Amino acid sequence: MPEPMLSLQKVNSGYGKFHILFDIDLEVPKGKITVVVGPNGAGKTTLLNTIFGLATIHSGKVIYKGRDITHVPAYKRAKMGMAYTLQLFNIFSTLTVKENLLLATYDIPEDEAKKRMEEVFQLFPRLKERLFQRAGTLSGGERQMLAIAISMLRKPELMLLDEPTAGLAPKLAKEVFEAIRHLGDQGYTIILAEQNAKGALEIGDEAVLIASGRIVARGKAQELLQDKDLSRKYLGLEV
Amino acid sequence: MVNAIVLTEQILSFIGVYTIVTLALNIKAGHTGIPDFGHAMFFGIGGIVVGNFVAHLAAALASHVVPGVTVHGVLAQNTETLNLLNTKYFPTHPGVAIGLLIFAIVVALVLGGIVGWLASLPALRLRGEYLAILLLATAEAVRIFVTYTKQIMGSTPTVGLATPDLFAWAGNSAAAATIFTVIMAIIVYWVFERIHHSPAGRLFRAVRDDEDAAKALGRDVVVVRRDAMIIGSAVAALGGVVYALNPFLGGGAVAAVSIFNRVFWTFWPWALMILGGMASNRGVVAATALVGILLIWPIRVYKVQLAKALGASLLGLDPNSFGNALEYLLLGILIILALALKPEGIIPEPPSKTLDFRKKAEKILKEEKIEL
Amino acid sequence: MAAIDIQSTFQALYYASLLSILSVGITLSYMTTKVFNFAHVRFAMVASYVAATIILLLAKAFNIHGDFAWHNMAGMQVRIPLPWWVYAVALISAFIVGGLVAVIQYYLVLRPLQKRGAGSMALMISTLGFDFILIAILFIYMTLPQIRRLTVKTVSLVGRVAFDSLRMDSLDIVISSGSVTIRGAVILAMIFALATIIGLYLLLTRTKLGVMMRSSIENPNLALVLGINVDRVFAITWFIAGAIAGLAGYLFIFATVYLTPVSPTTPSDQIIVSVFAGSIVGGINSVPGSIGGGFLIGLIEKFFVPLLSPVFGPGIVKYDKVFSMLAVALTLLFIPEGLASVNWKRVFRLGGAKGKES
Ligand SMILES: Nc1ncnc2c1ncn2[C@@H]1O[C@H](COP(=O)(O)OP(=O)(O)OP(=O)(O)O)[C@@H](O)[C@H]1O
Ligand SMILES: [Mg+2]
Repeated sequence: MPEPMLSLQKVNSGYGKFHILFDIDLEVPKGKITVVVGPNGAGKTTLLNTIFGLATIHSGKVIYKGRDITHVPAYKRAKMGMAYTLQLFNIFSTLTVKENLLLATYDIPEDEAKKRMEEVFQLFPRLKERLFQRAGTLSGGERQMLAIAISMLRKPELMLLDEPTAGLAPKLAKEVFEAIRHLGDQGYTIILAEQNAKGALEIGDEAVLIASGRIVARGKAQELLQDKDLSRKYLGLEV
Repeated sequence: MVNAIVLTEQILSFIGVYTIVTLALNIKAGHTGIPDFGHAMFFGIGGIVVGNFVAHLAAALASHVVPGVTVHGVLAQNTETLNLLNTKYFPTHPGVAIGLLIFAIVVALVLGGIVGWLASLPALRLRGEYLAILLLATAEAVRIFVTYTKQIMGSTPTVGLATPDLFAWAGNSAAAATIFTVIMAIIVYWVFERIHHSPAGRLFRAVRDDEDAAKALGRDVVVVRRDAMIIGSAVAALGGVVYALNPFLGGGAVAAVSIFNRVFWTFWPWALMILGGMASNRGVVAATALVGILLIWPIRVYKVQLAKALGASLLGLDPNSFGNALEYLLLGILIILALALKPEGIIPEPPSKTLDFRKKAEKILKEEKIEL
Repeated sequence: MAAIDIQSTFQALYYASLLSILSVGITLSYMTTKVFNFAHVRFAMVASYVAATIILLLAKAFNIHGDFAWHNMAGMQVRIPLPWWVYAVALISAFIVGGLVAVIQYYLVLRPLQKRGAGSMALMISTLGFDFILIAILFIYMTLPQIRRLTVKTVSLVGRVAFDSLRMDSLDIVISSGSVTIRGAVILAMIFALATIIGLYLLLTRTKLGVMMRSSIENPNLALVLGINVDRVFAITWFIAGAIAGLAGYLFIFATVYLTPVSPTTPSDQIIVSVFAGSIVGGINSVPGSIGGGFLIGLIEKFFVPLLSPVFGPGIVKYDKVFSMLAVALTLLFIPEGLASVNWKRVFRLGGAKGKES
């Protein structure tokens, strides 16, 4: 079996004194979309925060590309090829769209940045039309696109997405999922945390189900989608 | 060498007045969570009561007895008038002096309470640091107003007003003033301990810990905060009276720069409260005693010797400046270390039933949300 | 009798400029760390001590009529212009020292406390503690023999202790023409204020660092995720805030009679509440707001209040700060985010609409 892009070993984490995640073991395979699902407050966001170094790790190890990064500060992880689209406040709303995009590429050579920018505009042409608009005035869908674009610009080896479809109309959500699948096909390694379990699992490769801070099930995304018991109990899906 | 008795008196006076002022702050900030950065303004009221009101009243009473004393003279010929009162009137009229003492205490408590109530009005609207800055600004405005208003502080604001020596009838008036200071501190401590363990005290802390929970239980948070402001401010004004009457503290005069000084009467009490433990009355006394002894005994009295011992004089350091430096260094380092290492203070707040109260309230809150 | 003449107008402009460059520092540090920094104005004090000593020592080392400071003891004011580079070296040192003290506070006090989960009140009190430590350092610094030789003895107002203080105002350059004399410090203050406005504007809008600062302030987590070392960006912001305070400290040297580490009349203790006032009235979360707010408070105290004296008598000027404190109270109660948060367009439009109706 090839070396996973990322693995968590017996990780216990939370925020300061608060203990939220318990004994998490997880392997994220390269070039695949790993979907994290679970009810509200289960700890999906905390899991992503733990991976990116935004949470407090009480014990256990986080290994990324064979290197122990448990104690590496978050901003350095960004330089190691990780990107993260936050669930809330995922754009700089007081800055313009252009400034947002520039920030995403501030540590990348200029012509390379331009090239990537063009790629992003191909996927989200709407952003190009609104370069000088203040990001806070974008519509909900445009905001999510900008948020994902920011991550994409960083050409990450590992991309964390936290509920990129939250608050979007079903049609838009579908578009976003398709864009993510497209990224997956291009070879991005993606961890996708979603409330919209059905949509996410449909485009995902691997899946884990979290409840109350523990992993309660894992397997292929399609299998989880078919599992009536789990689906009904945790995800409220009628299959 | 320093007289051991005088040294003891100095230390006791310091501890006494800071116990009063810091406990008064503690009921607001420690127990109820009102960040009063304007504490000095209430303290100053007590100084005005003694230096101005009591002096006027005494002059009125003495004007028929002691030649040369006039009511007008209290402000016009302040030093002379007060000198006459302190040497010719109070020594022979202990009854009047004690009456005036009681008058001073009562008036300071009432005035302090009223101003505290007024200051609590904005406290209903603001919270946290914003409220702290508002109170700081208010105190500053009051300080400036008092400083330059001749009817209050006389015409030389930096010198201020000479204070009546209401213990002049005692053989050793300084000792009597010290005993008075200590007695007042003990009474204040006793009262605050009683409050701490009473239902009212628990209510104060409940408001501090969780305003929403307190509200959910039908408590009027506004009223609770107001009460804490009134009590704390009244007692702070009492502290001002004690200060003004104690020669080791006031030095026989009250000036706006000293009694409304935000470093001494707002920031130091904050430091002592943090050090002792927010909402812990015993902690406050312990911190005050510790700092008082360190400050007065080695630093103020023995600064020359201390400077030598620490090798400071080898560097050619001036012992006076060195002493000043040590006072600020001691306090500054204690504040930061306490915040970093013992944020709950040297004697943390004794456990009480607040927790149950909070849990109960949380439960109610949760149920309400579910109903919604 | 005119309530205000050219000279006092300039004096008011000096004061307003001084407040505005200090207020913007309070705001910069508040925006990053969410703490009202009580030590901020003391940065200026520290910087002014360092700059003052540098001027005196350089003058002495190059034997530029070294003993001008001593003459003051006899009450004489001997003005000897120093070569420009002495002033320049001192200015740069003030700038750097102010910034360094701020960075020390950020890394040694505030960050560790924040990491331990200290709340906003605890942080605010820690700034008091740091202020006390700075005062202590200044006292010790003043008492070093090399420095003491440059000083004059005075007795504090409280009459309790003798302070050693620097007396420096004789160093100021005075421009006189006819009956009007203008102090160099007054012109310098306005230049500093202008430079601060332009410098910060360019920094925040035109440079990568500025955009990083703005983004880290708005959303530190997102900035981290993009690989920005938010801690360091904040430390740089603190440096800038402290360095600007250093400029204010440089002004103190020339504009005030005595420098003492702490006393009710020492510049930092006298103006700190006005500085807070400027920052709050203008907008605690707005850089341009705080610059304007500081200027406004300065003008209220030293320009508008004196204008009232024909009505209320000349005594009113002593109560100048009462008016600025009133402004703080009204701001906090009614527009806590300050004048910068007011939607002025709407206010004017409403006013206009009403005007049409009536
Ligand atoms: N900063 C924090 N401090 C303390 N507890 C927190 C913090 N952030 C989140 N939590 C708690 O951690 C738990 C898990 O939260 P998390 O955000 O990981 O859930 P989630 O699975 O992402 O939920 P959702 O689907 O609603 O986004 C929740 O109970 C939440 O209240
Ligand atoms: Mg989440």
